[in-house]
Amino acid sequence: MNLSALDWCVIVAYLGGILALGLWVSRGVTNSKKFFVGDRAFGKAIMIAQALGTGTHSDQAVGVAGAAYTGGFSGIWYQWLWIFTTPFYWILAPVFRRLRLVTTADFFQIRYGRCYAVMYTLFCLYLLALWQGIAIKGTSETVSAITGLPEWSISVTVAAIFTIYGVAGGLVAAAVTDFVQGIFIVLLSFLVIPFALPRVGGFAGLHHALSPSYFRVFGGAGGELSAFNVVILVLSGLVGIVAQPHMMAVASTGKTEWNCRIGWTYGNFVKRLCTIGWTLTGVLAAVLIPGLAFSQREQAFGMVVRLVLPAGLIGLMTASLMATVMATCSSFMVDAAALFTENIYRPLIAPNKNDRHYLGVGRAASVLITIAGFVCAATMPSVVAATVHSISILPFIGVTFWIGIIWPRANRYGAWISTVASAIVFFAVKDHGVSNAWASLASLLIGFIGIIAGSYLGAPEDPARMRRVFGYLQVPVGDEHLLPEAESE
Amino acid sequence: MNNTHEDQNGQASLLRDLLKLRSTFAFRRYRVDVIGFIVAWLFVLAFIAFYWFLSKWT
Repeated sequence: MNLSALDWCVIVAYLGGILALGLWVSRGVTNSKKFFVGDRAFGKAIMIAQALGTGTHSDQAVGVAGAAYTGGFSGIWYQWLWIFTTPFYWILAPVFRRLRLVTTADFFQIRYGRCYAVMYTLFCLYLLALWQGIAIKGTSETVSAITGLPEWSISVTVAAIFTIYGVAGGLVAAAVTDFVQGIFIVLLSFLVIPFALPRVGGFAGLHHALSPSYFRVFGGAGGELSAFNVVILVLSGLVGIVAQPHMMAVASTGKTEWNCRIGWTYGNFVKRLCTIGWTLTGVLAAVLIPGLAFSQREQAFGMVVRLVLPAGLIGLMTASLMATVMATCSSFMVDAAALFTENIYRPLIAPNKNDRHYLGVGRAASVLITIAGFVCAATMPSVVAATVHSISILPFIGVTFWIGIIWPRANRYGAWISTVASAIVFFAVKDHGVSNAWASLASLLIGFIGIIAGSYLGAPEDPARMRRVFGYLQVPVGDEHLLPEAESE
Repeated sequence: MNNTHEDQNGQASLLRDLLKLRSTFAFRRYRVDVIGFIVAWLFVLAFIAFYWFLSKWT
């Protein structure tokens, strides 16, 4: 056991405080709309925190610090790839909000029919369980390395806490606790630096101790990402981001359209700022604990924490690491519950029940998805492999979302052809030993060709329904009296 | 083209109208999208510039 009594006090106070806050804000959650989308009443600060908390987990910090340990400043691109997709969130946020829907599957249902929506829902339930598993496993490994506690005890503790407040308060509890946990995520990112930098003699000492290649921002010591890889990853990320099941909550639950834009875009810019802290931590670790093998580089973050932080702050860092997983998993849990309840249970299993019934089902589904996340965590061979896998498969569906919001002619035949063909091409090409980047490019091209060809070959969707969808996309929430004019355009 | 409420407030969606922008584009119609998108790209450039200067800092 590596923790002092002071560290334990900090951790217990943090976990107890988050649980109490989550339960306190849950008091007013009495209907399914509030549970799943928080009544769309969140302010800018909560929206920023929600985007930061949901999108940030400790394995990202550990991965970037590890890449910077071997690759120097250029290691930042493992996460900063997404900096080029961030401006697009500004113009995507109103699209999600104007749809006025609870889940992204609702969009696929009105756009491409129930079968496609059910396929998307099942795909997302798998994805959210996998992502919960990635977050729980990644954080438990790091916290275990710092504290000496067994991984299973960390996993069970954090899962029990976020499940209790998430089941009680749904998205309201997840978003409000994200606000506090967002502060801890920023702390996690920069806490090591003021203690480690003096030990190496400041920035001058860093330059003296490491080779110049460590300080190249582009193509530095690691050289692991080629320009082609970067372009394809950015393109895949942009196409796939809209298919991520939690984006409907992150992008559309603000009180105003402006809050949604600010929250999604600038919450992610806060994450980009935190990424600089993760990279500096990795570069400092390269000086303070040299000699780690490439395969051990992701231990650098935990080792430098133990080396430089005093008693009390190690507890604060441990609490911050736990904050990342609780913020992420509580949101994923509610998103999965919304998908199951609204897109599987309500339409296919038990229609026409009262709202209290669906709220209960949502709460039960929350517990089940966390258990599924545990199964994923226990069975996945590697966090990195699982992350790459999940990023690679998102564009199969992202293509149909993008085309669905810009091209009224797109129909369900095109959507199915696009998704099935791009998945087949991706896995077939990968099976022949082709790199992930080339497989993604081939898959994207087939996806776009498939939806265009299929949409021209198959019958169009109901024109009145399409006019309604595109009318909604034109009119902000609150201006519904303008819908007839927008639908006629 | 109708002169809708969204035109007057600059809140029309660039994405929704992407395929017909050649005929519909007017700055006043897409003002919120265009300005916010440009500002966000300026943030991207500022982040990269700051990070580059940090890497050279001694």
